[in-house]
Amino acid sequence: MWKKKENESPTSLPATPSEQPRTPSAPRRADRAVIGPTLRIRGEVSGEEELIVQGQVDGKVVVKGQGVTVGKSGKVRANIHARSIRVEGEVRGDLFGEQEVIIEASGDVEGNLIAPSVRLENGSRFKGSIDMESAKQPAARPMVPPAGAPGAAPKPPQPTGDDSSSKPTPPAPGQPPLRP
Amino acid sequence: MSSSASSTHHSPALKHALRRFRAVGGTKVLDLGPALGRNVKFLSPFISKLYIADLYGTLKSKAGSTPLGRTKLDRILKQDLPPASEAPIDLILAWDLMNYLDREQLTTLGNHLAGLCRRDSLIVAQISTLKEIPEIPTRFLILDPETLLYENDSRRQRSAPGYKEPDIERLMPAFEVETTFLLRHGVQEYVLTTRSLPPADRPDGRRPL
Repeated sequence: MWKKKENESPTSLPATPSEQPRTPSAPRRADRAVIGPTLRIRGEVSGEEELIVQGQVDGKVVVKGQGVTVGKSGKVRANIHARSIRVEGEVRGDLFGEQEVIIEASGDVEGNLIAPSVRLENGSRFKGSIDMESAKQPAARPMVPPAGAPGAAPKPPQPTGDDSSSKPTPPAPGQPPLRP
Repeated sequence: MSSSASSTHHSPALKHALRRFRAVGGTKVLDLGPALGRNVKFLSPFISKLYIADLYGTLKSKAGSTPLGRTKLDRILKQDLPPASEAPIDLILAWDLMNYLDREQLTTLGNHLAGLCRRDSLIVAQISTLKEIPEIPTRFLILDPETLLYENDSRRQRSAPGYKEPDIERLMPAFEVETTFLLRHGVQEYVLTTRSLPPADRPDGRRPL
């Protein structure tokens, strides 16, 4: 569950002979595929149209440039790659969202979420890691931490609040880390 | 800690911990509590990675009616905490989990967390000084950098271990109390940091168990 995100890129998607060039501004109803509640798929599901999973998928899901919704009855044991991912059912796997990952109140996810935006609704269940930084462009991260930051000399705590008493115990600086 | 459904409290420990990390960004945070959308939203601007272990839920579901032994707890922690390859973690939000662990369990948890920390890593913990606590752990929602909403639906109470500062430092020998705050509603907030001197070298000569 905690493993680092896989380096693999989505595999190329099979072209359908009947497929015509599409314009994003004119989505067709046929651009939405549904894996029904009685269907179980083992292997890789890939495509370029919006996907709704109400059944069970074990393997891998790659949807290029479109969204994937795991419906309330959906059970996915797979990594999912898509533009946006919405989970109302159960997922055991890592979710790679180009834009966002949303876990709805009924959603239950164990895995890692890699997306620039992640939303967990109240009542949702999630265990794993959330990585919003590596999904974005290289973020401006200070090379030198400001005073009081990790790596800088620690400052004695400044307790505040009238409902507390404090006992500051500043750590001794210059000690080696516990683990290299 | 009140058994009412929700109440708002000042959190000087959270404020203390966030002050250190908030301006920097790129912080790795481990939340031992359940996934709460509000906390994810609050933390997201300044974290690089957030790990949600939901030990509350796991311990509750796996403990059953018998207390978790050390071996079983070891297994759970190995599975549910990030591996050492994800270290170091900068900030660990332990919330009130320690109220629900016995002494042996607390030591086991401390040993696992020590393997994820570096110097200056912090743990924020809320430990009750009252004789009784809600039967199940509280959900803590971060309202702002110094305010928490406590949510607990349990109407039943259980006895509290009432750990005090010396207990924590003895049971979690890799950590020491950086600062602590006693709040009016009976919660003692702690900010723990990795111990800067090995216990054997400490002036008081205190050694781990």
